[in-house]
Amino acid sequence: MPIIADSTYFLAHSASLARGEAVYHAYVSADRPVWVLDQQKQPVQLGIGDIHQRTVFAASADPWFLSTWDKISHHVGLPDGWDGASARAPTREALDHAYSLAVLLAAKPEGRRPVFAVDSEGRPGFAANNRELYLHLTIDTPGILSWLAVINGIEYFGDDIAFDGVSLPSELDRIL
Amino acid sequence: MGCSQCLKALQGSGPFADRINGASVEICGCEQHSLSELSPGVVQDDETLHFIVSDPDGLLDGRINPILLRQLHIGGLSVLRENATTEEFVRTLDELTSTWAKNVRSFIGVTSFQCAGVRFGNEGRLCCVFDTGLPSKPHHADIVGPMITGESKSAAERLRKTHVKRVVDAIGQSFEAAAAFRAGALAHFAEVQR
Repeated sequence: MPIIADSTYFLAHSASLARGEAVYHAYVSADRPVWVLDQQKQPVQLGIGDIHQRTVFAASADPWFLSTWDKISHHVGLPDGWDGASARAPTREALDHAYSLAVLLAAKPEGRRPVFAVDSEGRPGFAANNRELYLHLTIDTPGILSWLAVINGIEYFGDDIAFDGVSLPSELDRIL
Repeated sequence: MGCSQCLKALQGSGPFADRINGASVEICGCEQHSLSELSPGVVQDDETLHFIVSDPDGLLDGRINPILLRQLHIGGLSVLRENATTEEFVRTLDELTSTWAKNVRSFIGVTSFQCAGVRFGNEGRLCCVFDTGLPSKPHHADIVGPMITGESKSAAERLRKTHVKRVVDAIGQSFEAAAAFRAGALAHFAEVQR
């Protein structure tokens, strides 16, 4: 079972990730002990600050998730100017929300799962540009999202949309 | 050289895009004046511009990732002009690769496109392209989005993201990998980073 081992944590959230016949559930918290179900659906308790295999439940069978998780982790602790120019560093709080989004987006089908990147204002985001979907989503501040999506020529825009780290905003969930 | 307001906009605080857009009443007015004594002159519509592309995810299905184009509305998107020497590319990549955070960005190639394509869209001006030659890079230029104002913060954000999509579409898919661009003269930067 792969372990994504660093000091990362993310907001309490839950996700059902359907991959073939398997459905995994993960409940992870940085501030209180939580129970999670492992791949055999056996309960495991994670304590405060516990870094024990916290994400493997969602990630083990999903290369997109592993890759996205890695990309987010590489942006933790960056200084300003990390892009070779004047980009601001993303805040830890904003990256925590990116982790949460990654878990939730992992449940979306291939072609609807965007890639992670950080813009020059230090805003983490996800983008896609393929036959099925154009998406430019940013975490404007921790807990607040905006996006422009184009699907089959129809434009969808969301701004100042609250994201609690637990579930995708319904407008976003519908279009992805 | 000309237009003291445009030249003044090169200095000062605040985002370059705001300063240069505010220096002229006419949209992209400062394009008509050379902004650098070091540059060969204003950028012509038929010039090819080169944008350095990084990995991972600098490109999405061959097109520039819209998230990387946020700079259009802040500090400007740096490009090198058609007649830039290979030495100018080398200097640029020396600077970038020495400051790119490890594991976050690496050089993969260059996307090239005609200046007119990003200057003009179906609905009027798309972007402004200014000659901003630098001491070691006289063929440096900056692409800047025109001033965007909306009735609300939300309306402005929608206009910005819509504008970015139009620029992504205008630039298109003319990517050349490091191994092929200028006969591979920059390929070692890609290899070093990996």
